[in-house]
Amino acid sequence: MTQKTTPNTNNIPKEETGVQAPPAEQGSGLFDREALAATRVRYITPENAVFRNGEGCLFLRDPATGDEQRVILHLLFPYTTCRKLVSVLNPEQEEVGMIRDIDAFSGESLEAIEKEIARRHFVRTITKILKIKDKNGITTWTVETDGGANAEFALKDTYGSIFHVTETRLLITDIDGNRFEIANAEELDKGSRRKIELYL
Amino acid sequence: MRNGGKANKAEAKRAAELESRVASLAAGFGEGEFRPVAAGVFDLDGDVSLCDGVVGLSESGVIATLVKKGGEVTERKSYSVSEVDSCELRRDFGILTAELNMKSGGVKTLFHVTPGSSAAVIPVVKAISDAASGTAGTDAPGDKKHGPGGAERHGPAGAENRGPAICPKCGKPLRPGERSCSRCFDKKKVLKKMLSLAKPHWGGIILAVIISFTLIGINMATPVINRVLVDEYVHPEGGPSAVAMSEPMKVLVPFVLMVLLMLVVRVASLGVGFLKSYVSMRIGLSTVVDIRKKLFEKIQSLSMKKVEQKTTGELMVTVSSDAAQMQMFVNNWLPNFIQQVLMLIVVSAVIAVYDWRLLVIFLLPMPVTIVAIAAFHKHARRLMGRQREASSKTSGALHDILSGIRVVKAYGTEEKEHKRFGDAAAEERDVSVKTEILLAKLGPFIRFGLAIGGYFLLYYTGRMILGGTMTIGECAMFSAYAGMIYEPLGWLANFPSQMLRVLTAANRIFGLLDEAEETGGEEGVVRRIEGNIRFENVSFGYDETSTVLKNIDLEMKPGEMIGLVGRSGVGKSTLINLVMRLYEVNKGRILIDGVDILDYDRECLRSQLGAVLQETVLVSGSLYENLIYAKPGATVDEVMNCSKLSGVHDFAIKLPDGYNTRIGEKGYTLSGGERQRVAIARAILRNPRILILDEATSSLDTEMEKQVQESIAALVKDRTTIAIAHRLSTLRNASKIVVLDGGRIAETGTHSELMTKKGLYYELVIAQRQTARVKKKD
Repeated sequence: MTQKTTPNTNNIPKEETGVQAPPAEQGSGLFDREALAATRVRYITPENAVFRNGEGCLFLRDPATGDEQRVILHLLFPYTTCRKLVSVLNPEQEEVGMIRDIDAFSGESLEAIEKEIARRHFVRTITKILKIKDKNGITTWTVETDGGANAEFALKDTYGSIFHVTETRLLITDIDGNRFEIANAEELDKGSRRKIELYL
Repeated sequence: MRNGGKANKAEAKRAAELESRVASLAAGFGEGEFRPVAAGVFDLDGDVSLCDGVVGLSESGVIATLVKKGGEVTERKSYSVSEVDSCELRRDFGILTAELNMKSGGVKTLFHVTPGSSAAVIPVVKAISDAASGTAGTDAPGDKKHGPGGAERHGPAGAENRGPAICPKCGKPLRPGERSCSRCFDKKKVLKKMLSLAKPHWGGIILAVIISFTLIGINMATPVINRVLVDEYVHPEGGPSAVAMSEPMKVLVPFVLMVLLMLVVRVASLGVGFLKSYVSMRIGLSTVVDIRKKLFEKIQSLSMKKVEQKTTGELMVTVSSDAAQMQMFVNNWLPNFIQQVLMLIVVSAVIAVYDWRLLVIFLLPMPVTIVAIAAFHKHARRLMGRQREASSKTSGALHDILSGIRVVKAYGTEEKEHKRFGDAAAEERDVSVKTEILLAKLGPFIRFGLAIGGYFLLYYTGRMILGGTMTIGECAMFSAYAGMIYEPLGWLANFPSQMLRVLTAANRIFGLLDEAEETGGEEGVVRRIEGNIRFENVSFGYDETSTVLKNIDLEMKPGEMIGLVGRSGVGKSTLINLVMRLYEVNKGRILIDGVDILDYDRECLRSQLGAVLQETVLVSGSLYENLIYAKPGATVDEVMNCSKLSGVHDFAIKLPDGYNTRIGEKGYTLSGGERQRVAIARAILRNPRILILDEATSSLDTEMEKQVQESIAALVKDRTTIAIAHRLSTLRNASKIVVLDGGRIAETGTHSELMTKKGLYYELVIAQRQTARVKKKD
């Protein structure tokens, strides 16, 4: 039995994200005011939006008009950062706007956003690899996760299923689409490292 | 040597034939009036039947042809170069026709030639054309390069400009993409280059040799210990000694020590052998990585024309298999060769010191074996070449099938392709079997030849033992040494055929490494481009026998959007290929901001060009990595804006992994429209000074096209844009529309000007409107 855990998005170091902090609004070169207007990117900020959780959903309210609608958060860079560049979609999957940095929000809004992200971004962190069994090209992994309980999953294309977010941080997608993370492959115990190094 | 002699004879014969035909041609003019500066022979007359023809260009600018049939002159033609605008070689089915485009407007047929003989006349056609246009440069009349003998000189250096190149040594045509003849390449030269390639690893190689020497020393000790064991303990002279009978321990202890010593020697031999393999393997692997890097860099630096001369399969085989052969050379053959030669010398010396007659008897059958090897060597080389070619063909077929797998499935041609690949693989198998059989035949034959020496040795040592001049232990020692000589001899006998494999591979590698790189390297002009593009009398063809663009004169001002219009195959894409400098013009020049495109620093020029082409190539990686491929240092904000502008964002927000989604092989498959949007985003991100749009919105649906057109409208502002579109309505707002027809500019003007003119553009627009109406009705 495996246990569901909340991803610790705060632990992702900024330099590991591969995403630089957005520069000033005016842009450069091609992105002069005129061109920028043409992009029609609507950034959602604490000034123009308030988020709240309700009935298991996320709601966005325009403080100026008081209009409220149900929204879904979609991480644009789920491998590399969960706190920057989050697309806010309506139930029809159309983009309402984009959050540059969720840390710009505070209080109830931030709490609601984090809760929604946790619902949309579920990754278990592997702390120990107990066994990797290779049979007919499919590897079956038995691992210990930060949830405490052992997890077992299978990879069809093992090399292709392991994504190197950084040199040492790995993201594994199993045959069913479940996500597992190894925060630092070098910090795994010797036995685990020996088991995984064949596939890196 | 014989091959070289034959080739020289053939060359001399061809030169003499040309000289005699040129003399006949000149005889039709007054004494000394026709002094040829370029001449070549052709083989088809006006009725397209075989003849002995010659074409020449004289110093005074006279172009003349003479046709002889059965020794009789049947046709003579002559024109003044001043009447001629250009000379072209038109390629039809199995025949090439040289035509003179006269200044008066007409076209005159100069001669016909079969493709196989065209190499001899291509320089003449070029010389005539250059003389006519007055841009002769180094190839102008008077240049000795195209003298009567010149047309016959088809060295590899000029191969790319003169059609099918011919090997100057054997007289046979080079295979497509070959620079040097694979039949008669200079092996010494290739070997020298191979050694120079191993230069950075000489330290390691010397270490491997020292280890080899140590190994030989250790191996030499075993027979000596063996001799002591036999002569002192197993079968001592005069039977067991009194000491051995009375105090057996005094004999047993040194005996056990000797056995232990033998064990130590064996273990040491294994250890040193492992060390040798390890050092050799390290050197070999480093070398192969170096070679692959160099080859890859070279392929990247070659011009499109050069790359297209080779198939992908050939290039892949060179980078993978040929490089692996080089690894074998450094890893295995080179240190082993040194070790085996050393062993041969040392063991021979030891035997000779004991009794020189032993060595002579042993080496007696060697000359016969060497002669046999030499005989097989020639045949083996031919087979190796065929094996290599067959392997390349199989790889090429596999690559074609895999890269076009959609087409194969769509047309249900799996069976056909299966057969094609099967045939190629079977051919490779057959050639490989032949080669291996030959090598298998050669091996035992050589070993048998060498073993004869062993029988002589056995007879001689047997006689010595019976005569009391040699002990049994010594006989065992020499038998062991004889075995140690057999090994290097057997190895060295196989060495030429194995080395040939390596040399053939090395010749391919150096052939590629020696290719001339694209012009305009790091020393070129580096500046910010404003975007003024001028074509000055530009002509271009992908080969010498066809001209795609003819005498193009065109100016594009900075910030203008030029629409290129015309039927399929008129040269629209070729024109933009020239602006991107993927190819170099054959005639005329292209200026960007007044500087010849060839004078620009390649990096500088291409960094200021952006292109959205018909086919978008995606790299294996995430969507984000694919976007920033155009500008690796781009900020996320820039990428987001480009993504929104191009419409990439619309599908990125629907992907579970967003911009981290892996695309390409084993990843998410983008649709044609999505790929095109990625290409547009890349172009926007690059922020180029010159933007090229080749059917940039052809894969988009109407709604998305409308949206992307808006983005493009914002994008093209303040930069020179060249756009090709079959949907002419998309070019309505272009500053200037250039209509191409038959490789020439048919008309230019704005949309309204061209519509008023009611020319070709008008016809194309009306035809398209009618098609649209029919579709609407349906």
